[in-house]
Amino acid sequence: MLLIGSLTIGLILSLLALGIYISFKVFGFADITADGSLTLGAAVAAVLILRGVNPLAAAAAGGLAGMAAGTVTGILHTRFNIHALLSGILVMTALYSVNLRIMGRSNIPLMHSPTLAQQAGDLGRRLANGRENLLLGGWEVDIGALAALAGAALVVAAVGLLLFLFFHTTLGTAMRATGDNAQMMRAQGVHTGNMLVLGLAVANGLIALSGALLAQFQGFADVQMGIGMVVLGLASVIIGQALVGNSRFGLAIVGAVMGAVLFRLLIAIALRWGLNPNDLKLMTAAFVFAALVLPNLIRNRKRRQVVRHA
Amino acid sequence: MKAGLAGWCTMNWECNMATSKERQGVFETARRLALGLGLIVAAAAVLLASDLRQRKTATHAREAFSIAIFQHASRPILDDAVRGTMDGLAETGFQEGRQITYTRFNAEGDLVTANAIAQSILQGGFDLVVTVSTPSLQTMANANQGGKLRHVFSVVTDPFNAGVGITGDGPGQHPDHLLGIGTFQPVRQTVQLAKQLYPALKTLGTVINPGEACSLACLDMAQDECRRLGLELLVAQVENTAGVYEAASSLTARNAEAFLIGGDNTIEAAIESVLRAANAARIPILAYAPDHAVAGALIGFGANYYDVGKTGGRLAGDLLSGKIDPRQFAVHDVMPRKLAVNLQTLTRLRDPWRLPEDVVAAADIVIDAEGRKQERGAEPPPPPLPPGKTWQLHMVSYSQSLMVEQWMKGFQEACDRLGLRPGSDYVLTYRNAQGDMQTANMMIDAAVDSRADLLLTITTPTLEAAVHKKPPMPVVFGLTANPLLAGAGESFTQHLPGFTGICTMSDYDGMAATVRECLPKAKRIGTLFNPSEDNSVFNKEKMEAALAKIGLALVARATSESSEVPAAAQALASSDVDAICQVAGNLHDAGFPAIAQAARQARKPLFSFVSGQAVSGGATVAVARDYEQGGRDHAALMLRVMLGENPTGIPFAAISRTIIVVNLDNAAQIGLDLPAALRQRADQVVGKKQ
Repeated sequence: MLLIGSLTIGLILSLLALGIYISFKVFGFADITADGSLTLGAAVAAVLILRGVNPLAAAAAGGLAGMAAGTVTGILHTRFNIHALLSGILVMTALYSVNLRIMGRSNIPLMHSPTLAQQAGDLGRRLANGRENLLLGGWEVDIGALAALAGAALVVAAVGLLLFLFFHTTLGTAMRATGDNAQMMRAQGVHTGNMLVLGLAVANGLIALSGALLAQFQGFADVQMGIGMVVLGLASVIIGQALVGNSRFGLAIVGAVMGAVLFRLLIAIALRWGLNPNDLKLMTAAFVFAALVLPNLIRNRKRRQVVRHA
Repeated sequence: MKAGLAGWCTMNWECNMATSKERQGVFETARRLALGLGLIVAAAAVLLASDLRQRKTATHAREAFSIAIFQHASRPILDDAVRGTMDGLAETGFQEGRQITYTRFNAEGDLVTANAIAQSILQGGFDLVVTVSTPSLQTMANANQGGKLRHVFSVVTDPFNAGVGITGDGPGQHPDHLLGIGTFQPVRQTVQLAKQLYPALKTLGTVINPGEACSLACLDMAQDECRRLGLELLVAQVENTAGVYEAASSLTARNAEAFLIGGDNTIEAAIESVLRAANAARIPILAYAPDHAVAGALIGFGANYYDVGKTGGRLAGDLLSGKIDPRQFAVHDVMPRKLAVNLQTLTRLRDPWRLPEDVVAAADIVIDAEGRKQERGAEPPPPPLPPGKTWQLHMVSYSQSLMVEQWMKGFQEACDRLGLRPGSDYVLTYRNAQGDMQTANMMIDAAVDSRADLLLTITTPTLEAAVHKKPPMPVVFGLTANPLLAGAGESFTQHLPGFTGICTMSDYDGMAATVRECLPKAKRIGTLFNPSEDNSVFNKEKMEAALAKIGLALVARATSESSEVPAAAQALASSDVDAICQVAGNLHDAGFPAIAQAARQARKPLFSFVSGQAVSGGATVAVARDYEQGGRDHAALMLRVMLGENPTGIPFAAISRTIIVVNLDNAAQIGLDLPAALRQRADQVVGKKQ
């Protein structure tokens, strides 16, 4: 079913949005490593699954590989003083070859291998006494798809909670403060360079984890799957921010997740309504534009009303 | 310093948790989250509202029968019979996916595997097994001696001597759980026909695998008939396909004047070996299967195995619905006759064989002297669609390109020509993912949700997405370079249920032959390929194999960026290759001008798989699939499915037409004289005649 499918993809890509949020919003670092690290996570997970590694462990390994990629971007920027955008481009470009090396070819199908999506489906069917379908409010719903959605929600909730807790530890708080005001943190004796490297590692780890899950959900890893992902993630972050405003960190996490899910739903609606396919990217741009502009418009109108009342 | 940091952080933490406005904070949080959640719920509701029609009330349909279909090998005869079986079952009211589900088994010619398969079918909880071919009947019957599973067989030469407990052709002279039909090859008629076509015939030769029961039955009958007509029958025995060529050659050495072939799975799988031996000695093959005449035998006289399979399928259907009583059923012979003659083979023979007019006129398939296949009644005007149904056709493409546009043009044209009326017969919804994999996935979902009757995919990625989703409606794919790489099946005949389609796989052998024809002295042929494009890699490997067959080596250089193509092309052209034969792939189709320039500078001929590249892209010769024809093939295949044929039984097919384009100007520029035969054969000749 389209709704369940797009909710699941939305949740999986919300990890990407969280990663982009950390690099873009917390550190103000225009990191485009994402295009490469998403594929990296998918590639590592796919290869490990083919070798018989537990899919959960494979997803975690994909995330770790992404952290390594983020670390490299960070080090290029802080140690070698390479411009932020350029260091991201360097790593992203290099990752294309690395990903090909890891996969050994451009596309790895996971159809006949155990993936998290399949395991979730099996578990769901076992819970439902072996039934394939469930009747939910009159809609026939595939239990496998429902279980995958529940699994994705679970993973996102766990990751979100971990992030929340991490960014409220001493270290995490220092990282956020570095993003807000690096000069002051240097005055406080914090090595801001290290904070940035760590931040990028976490961000790309999340993005790669998103890729690893996406590969398992869609049943294959492809060397091209990461292309254009920065834009998608950024769009989700912006929509999320429009929803919750420039507010506290915990709220921002929820906002990014909601933004990613909402973004996917909007695209699904556009598809379902039989929009002219050639206009799809234009619609995407329109959504982001609306998310950027509407909150300001609403705020301005409110202010004017307040003035009139006064 | 550390302490200072810790203190600062603690302070910050406490600030965050400041309690003075705590209640207002909670309210604020809830308000903000509510907006997002509300929007998500609203969007979900809109999406669900679009799908309201899909709502179902809980129904408990009777569970479908589950049927095993067991064939011994992948051969056209058996594949036809399997297709017929499914259609026969459908005719008796058992539609796949509704009343029954199929599981197909194929031993790929291996008896050990066949036994293992028979065991697993027995344990698999099926309601019925249908076997196609004698070895499958025997292995299945052997495993199923207890009669646990109902068993229907077809495509069996001699069920009475197969050793499965069938004692005669009367009612009840068979185990209750085992019934089916025999199809004895027209052995006597074939021998008689041979004598008629060459009255001076003295000696026939046959190759058999003595391990096959039906082979021995045919041999007995052939020997009997030969004795009657005063002919000698030489026999050579083999155990497997590897020995067939030697055995056949030994017969020609013993002065066999023609081969009599058939009723034997081993030999029929190696018919090419017999053909080679026959061609070497310039003697004909007389086969018991029409398909062998298409491959090169002089006559193929056999059963129409599609019809045989259909009879078996109807029998299975009647058994399931209880229309026939196994006790009253008599195993009997069914022989829907089908004759094929090959006039091209006739011209190559040593002895004065002839094919009289009346024999040719009676043939169902005629291969004419130029090798063209004419099937009698092959293209009857397609029967009109049953009225009253408007088909919802959903077509999904991954991206928009010249190829896609050509394909669509052919598709639309063919739909009109086939008499399909838009609006009343069908409504075509076209979606295009604009190169985004996620979107392609969702488009397949959208097609499923809007309850398409038939899903048409264009390009490889959309087929991949469809393979992954396994939609409930039939899928007919097109413009797919390699459906096997996309996961749609293990071979063109053994594929996923519900899937069929047209692929664009290049004509590698045709290309290799053309290269050889133009450059008889060439040794090394160069190409660029992109290691990150599956299709490019696949095409390179296939090209390498095709060239190797005729003793040419392929020098392949990898490039994965369009900016690298010019330099790589120059490096390749200036190396010791005799020509460049560029394999198809997105990157190098886009970078073709650079390759053409490099080839021209180095004065090396350039061969291409895309027709336009020889017309105006700088290639010397193109051996291309005709994409417009591909679109037409796609539409024709779709119509077959719309008329009720089961896609599961339709093998994947390549585009039916290859076109050759030669560019005389480009050839003159590099000083190459193209052979006259090629210029004549070419579908399009560009440039001035020299």
